[in-house]
Amino acid sequence: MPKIKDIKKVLVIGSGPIVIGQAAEFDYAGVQACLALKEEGIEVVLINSNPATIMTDSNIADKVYIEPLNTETIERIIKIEKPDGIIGTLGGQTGLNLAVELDKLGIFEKYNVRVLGTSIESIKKGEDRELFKDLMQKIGEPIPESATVSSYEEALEFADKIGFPIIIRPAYTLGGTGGGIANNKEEYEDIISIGLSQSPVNQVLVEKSIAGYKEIEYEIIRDKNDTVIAVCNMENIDPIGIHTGDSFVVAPSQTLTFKEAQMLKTSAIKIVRALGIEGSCNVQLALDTKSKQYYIIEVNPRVSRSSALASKATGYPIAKVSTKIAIGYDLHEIKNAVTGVTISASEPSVDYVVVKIPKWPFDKFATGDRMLGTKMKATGEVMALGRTFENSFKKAITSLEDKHTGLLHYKFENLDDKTLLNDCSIQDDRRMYRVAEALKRGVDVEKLHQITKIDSWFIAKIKDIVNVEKALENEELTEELYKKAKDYGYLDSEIIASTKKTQEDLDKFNYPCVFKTVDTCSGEFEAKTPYFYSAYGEKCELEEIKKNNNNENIVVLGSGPIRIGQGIEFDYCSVHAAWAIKDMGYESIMINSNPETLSTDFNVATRLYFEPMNIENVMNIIKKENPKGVMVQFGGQTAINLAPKLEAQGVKILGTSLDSINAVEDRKIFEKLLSDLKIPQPKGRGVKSVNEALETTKELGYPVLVRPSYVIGGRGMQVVYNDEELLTYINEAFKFSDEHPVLIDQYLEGLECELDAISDGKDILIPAICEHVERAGVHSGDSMSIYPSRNISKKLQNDMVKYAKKIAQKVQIKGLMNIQFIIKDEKVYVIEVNPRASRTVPIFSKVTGIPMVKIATNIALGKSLKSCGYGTGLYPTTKLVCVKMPIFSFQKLNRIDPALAPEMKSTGEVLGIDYNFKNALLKAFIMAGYKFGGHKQRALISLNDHYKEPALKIAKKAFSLGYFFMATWGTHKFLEKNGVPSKMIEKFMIDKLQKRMKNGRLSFVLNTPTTGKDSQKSGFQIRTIAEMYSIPCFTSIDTANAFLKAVKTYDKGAKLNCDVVSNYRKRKFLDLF
Amino acid sequence: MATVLLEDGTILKGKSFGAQGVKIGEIIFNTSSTGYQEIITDPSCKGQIITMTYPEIGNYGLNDEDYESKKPECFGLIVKNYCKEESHYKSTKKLGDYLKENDIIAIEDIDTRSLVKKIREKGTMKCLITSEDLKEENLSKEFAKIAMHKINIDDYKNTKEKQILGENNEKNIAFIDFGTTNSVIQKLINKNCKLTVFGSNFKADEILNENFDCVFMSNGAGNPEYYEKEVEEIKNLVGKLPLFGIGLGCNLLALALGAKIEKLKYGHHGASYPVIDLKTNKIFATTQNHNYAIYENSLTGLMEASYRNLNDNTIEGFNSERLKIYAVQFTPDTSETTTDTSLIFDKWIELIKGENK
Repeated sequence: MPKIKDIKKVLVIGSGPIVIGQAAEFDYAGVQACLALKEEGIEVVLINSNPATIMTDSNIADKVYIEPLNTETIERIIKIEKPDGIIGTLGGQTGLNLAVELDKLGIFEKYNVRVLGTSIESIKKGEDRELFKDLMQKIGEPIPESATVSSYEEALEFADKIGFPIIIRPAYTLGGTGGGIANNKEEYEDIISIGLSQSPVNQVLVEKSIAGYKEIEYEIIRDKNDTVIAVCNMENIDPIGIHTGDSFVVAPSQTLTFKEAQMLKTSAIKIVRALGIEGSCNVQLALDTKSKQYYIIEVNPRVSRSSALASKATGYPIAKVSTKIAIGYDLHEIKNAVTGVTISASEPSVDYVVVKIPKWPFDKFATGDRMLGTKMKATGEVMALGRTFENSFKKAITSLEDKHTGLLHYKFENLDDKTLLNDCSIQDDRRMYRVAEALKRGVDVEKLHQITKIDSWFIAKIKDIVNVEKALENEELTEELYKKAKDYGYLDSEIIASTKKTQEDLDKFNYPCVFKTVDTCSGEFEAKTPYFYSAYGEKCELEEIKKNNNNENIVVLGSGPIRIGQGIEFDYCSVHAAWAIKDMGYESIMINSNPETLSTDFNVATRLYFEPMNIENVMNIIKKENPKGVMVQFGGQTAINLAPKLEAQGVKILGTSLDSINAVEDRKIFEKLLSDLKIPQPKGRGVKSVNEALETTKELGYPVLVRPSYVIGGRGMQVVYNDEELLTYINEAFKFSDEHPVLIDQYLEGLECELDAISDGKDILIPAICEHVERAGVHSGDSMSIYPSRNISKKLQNDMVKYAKKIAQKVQIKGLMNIQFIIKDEKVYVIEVNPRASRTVPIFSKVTGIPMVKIATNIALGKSLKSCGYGTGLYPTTKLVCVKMPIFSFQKLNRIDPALAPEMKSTGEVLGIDYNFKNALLKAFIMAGYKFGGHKQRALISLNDHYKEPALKIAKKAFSLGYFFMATWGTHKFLEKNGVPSKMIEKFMIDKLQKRMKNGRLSFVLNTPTTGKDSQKSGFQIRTIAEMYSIPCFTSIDTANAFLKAVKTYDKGAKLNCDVVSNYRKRKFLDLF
Repeated sequence: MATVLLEDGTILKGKSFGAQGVKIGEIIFNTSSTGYQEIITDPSCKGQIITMTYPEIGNYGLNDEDYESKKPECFGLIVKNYCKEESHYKSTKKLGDYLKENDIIAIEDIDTRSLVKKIREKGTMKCLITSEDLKEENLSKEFAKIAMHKINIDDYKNTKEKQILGENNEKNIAFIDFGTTNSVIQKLINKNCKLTVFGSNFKADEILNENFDCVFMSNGAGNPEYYEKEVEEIKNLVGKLPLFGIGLGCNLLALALGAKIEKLKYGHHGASYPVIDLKTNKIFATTQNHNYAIYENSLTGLMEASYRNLNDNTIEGFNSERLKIYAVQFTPDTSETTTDTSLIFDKWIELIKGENK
């Protein structure tokens, strides 16, 4: 029962698709919140447009709406559901903004919906710059001095008052263009004048720069009775100047004295009280390194990435407690789930050190701008817990799953000393490795502090770690050195590589890995938390936990940090696997390194190990747990890549066996398999040298698809049209491939389709077949896809099912499998088989109602498919039609080409669901943020020769819908010849076009990239500018075509439906009654 | 290698980073992640060997402003990872150097978490700490020393001459210093209090002869039962002047009113103990450093519990409105800012103001 008696039904707003800056942390928070509400007997209504989340599962909320996150839709839902209350502080900035907007429109008042938890008034005070500034002044909390100026004279007045450095931000420009930091008058004048000219309102914001200050965050919770606690504080290792999401972070703070920490905590508490928060709030502060002066940077009056990190770092469930507060509980009335003794009003205390490191996508986007600043660029993060900073820091580095796991050898060895030191001041993703290299060369800590402004404490600690790495490389391995290396988190594999010792040599030191518990109270009370991290040289705590417990257990490998190509969908699968294992009466053991996700909530699996996804760390756990087996099919490529190493150590892989995995992942075996089964496939070959590659293309003919094997998200994949391109590209592909061959395939430009299947090696269940909107050549993760398929004949569908069954039986798939096909000339070709959970599993689970992961888990544990009760063969479709749409984060990443390619670039997805295709398609575009209605402006068209002919129909369609074209010379000529008028532009006049986009006088861009490097330049610019101004930019004619279909649907006045997923999913035959 | 021996037979080995020598004291643990400077220089820690549960200690060195007393009174410090390279603009000394200069034995590289759990299970124990690597054959002799070890009660008494602080301030307070911290004294002075500081050898008559507004019983070290004589003196003050107490002072006031004191299994030592104000139901995180609490069922009719610890439900403070006695077991916040617990001092001072006008 909630404390507020009349609350029986609550609407929760989710955060929408995964983008940089808003990721899985809100799925974690949302699920916690929904479960906390249900625990109180409250009916939960949820809206989220993101189908890959766990929160949108039917077992989390009572009513799930996968619908557009806009005020119209939410109003409709409120009308239908009549909720008593709403919680808007769980869905990130998206959810918060929507709540504020709905309030402004008077919708809550109109339908008598109570805003639970932090009030809209409080949210506004925290979010609105001016209101916040006023409040801080009123309560006497310092914020950096700032002013809005519209002339250089005014700006100078401000500079005279506060001195340099000063940050300049032009008002209303996108992505911080035209701003910067001025260190002196000359720079100031330059930046101000550029900024003023770039701002549409001729205004710039000037603010005292506090770059270099320590950046400290507090996670605060307050209840309605005004009890306030600080869950945790965190210190950014990178000082102010780098977005906290892009900073290395440590918890708790390391360099603050008691008095400083108290001062900042007191300030944070005071602010939270002044705002009137009822729930959680994140307060970011900056502290001078040489005085007591501090500033408030900002507050987030909601759960956030930081609150997820703080929850994982301490074991304190912030989202859950905030939700309980929202429905009327006070902190002392909520039990601490960890200890069962203490209450949620106790501030956690920790006896370990937590380090978080961001995971950046620059390994994928080699051309991307790696500089870090005020705009977040990381797609995910890793966290490690250790008994010392050294251990925790090193483990976090290992958790990044990069090629190297140490701190050295990041190609900075070759820099001369001077360059290296200079480069240490560069604030990019590799800075810490440069610092490490400098420390190895003996540069002193103080000097590096001067250059980087990173506190000497951290640099000194990193020096200690580097010294161990250095010693391993140069000294005889003594027992003492070995133990120190292990204490510091070094892996045996690293030690072996540096010392040329064998594993047997190391084992003789007999220094076993042990595990410690996270308990929120530093051991002061007995806690039964099933949450562990590794340590060396100490007493293991597992034995006491497992004492009276002989249950068999099963390990689920998680998928590590979120990166492009390996996202929240694998967390979805891991979590469901852990639940299914528990349901079957086993204990489930979760291993993962990602603090944002639900899988690392210690309530999900029977036991959670927060550890790097490295074979040694995983084996340490397996040796202690002695599981019946390990599930590798749910944790994406991270988990699959561990399979051979696990089996080599005698660990049982449950479900599809390693041999089976190899049969489809190893190009040669796979090719033979398909030809044995008489399944058509594009011709292709794995090659290991440039000569072999040239020979192969001679035989296959261009175009060909070149890709490395065993990589995530089509990394390093490219369509290549001639020898020249092949030669420029192939070496890069070899680099990605490690010891594996590079694959070269015939490139078939047909309709791409895929299916997900579950098999027990005998029977097969295919929940869904979907077709891609974009023709083959675009990564499946980046293409729009349609379910049920519309353009695949019954016969071809039957072929697909037949092939899938043949493969599943032959390979003995025991669990999930994903197959990708190309249809060309009425013939189905198999292009790829993934013997594991795919990106589409959460979507297909939801739209079909088949608990795919649960069934797969049951099969992996020995049950037959038939006994699972969902039948076999292709599952019948329902009234539901859906369109999946990828979501990109290009606005956050500079210098990335938004053009679709075989390599995946999207970070998230939305799912438009309706009862017919047209509506579902329009909905998908709306969910992805495309605007409809309004005056149709010119559209810019520029096509390469390859696509001119196929695009003609599309151009005609656009014209008939009311668009006018601007076209580059060749395209113009082509359109003219075919009777479509367009205004010719000589070439891309970037400035003019940019102005047009800025003023919203361009409706969309259709630009199919040419492949040559030079001609790419101007197209590349146009595409990135369009991205910057949120102008729809299509690089595949198929996406453009789909968009025009949506426009047409909209223009005709389509009535979109708004319903819970389970209603859409009703069987078609019901129509008869 | 340095050694820690506990009276239950536990042997721990680590690395010495403090003074040379050997001490026998009482082992406790402290859960605060910062504040080691304040903790080791708090006179209440007399005779204690402190285990820090937070593993990184020494991070910001020591500075001239944060000492709680002139000389640290604890006997030893046990940590997981001593930070040899400290970093802070105010730092004037490394923790290790300070400990060496002040003859405090310190050991790092100890599995402090396991040690804490042992203390949690068995309670506070006698403990021997030494910078020496004790040899196997000598251990039984050393354990015997621990068993034989007796405390000299007089060591705990903070006897001293009367002294006046904050001469020109408004409120006239008799401050009984059982071994308080600098920050408590400073806080009261900043609150416009003139403190006439007495040692534990104070006499009630002497106080009653002067025109004090109230008497403040400070925090201090050791078992409240060591203070029989002092409690007798306090009894003579009861009802005659408003009496305030914190920490040990709170225990002694309770004893003077006829309540009983119990020893907590392993005490409360840390910076974030949740305490509920029983009047408002508001909860604060409090700094605590005490091994003894008022026995639950021993409150007399004149006493009323005012605060409780939410972890173990022990009494963290009591009032006697009729006798004008107010006391808390924890240490109210002494920082310059206003916080939930710093308000306690304000409220008390407010009370005596009302008293006189």
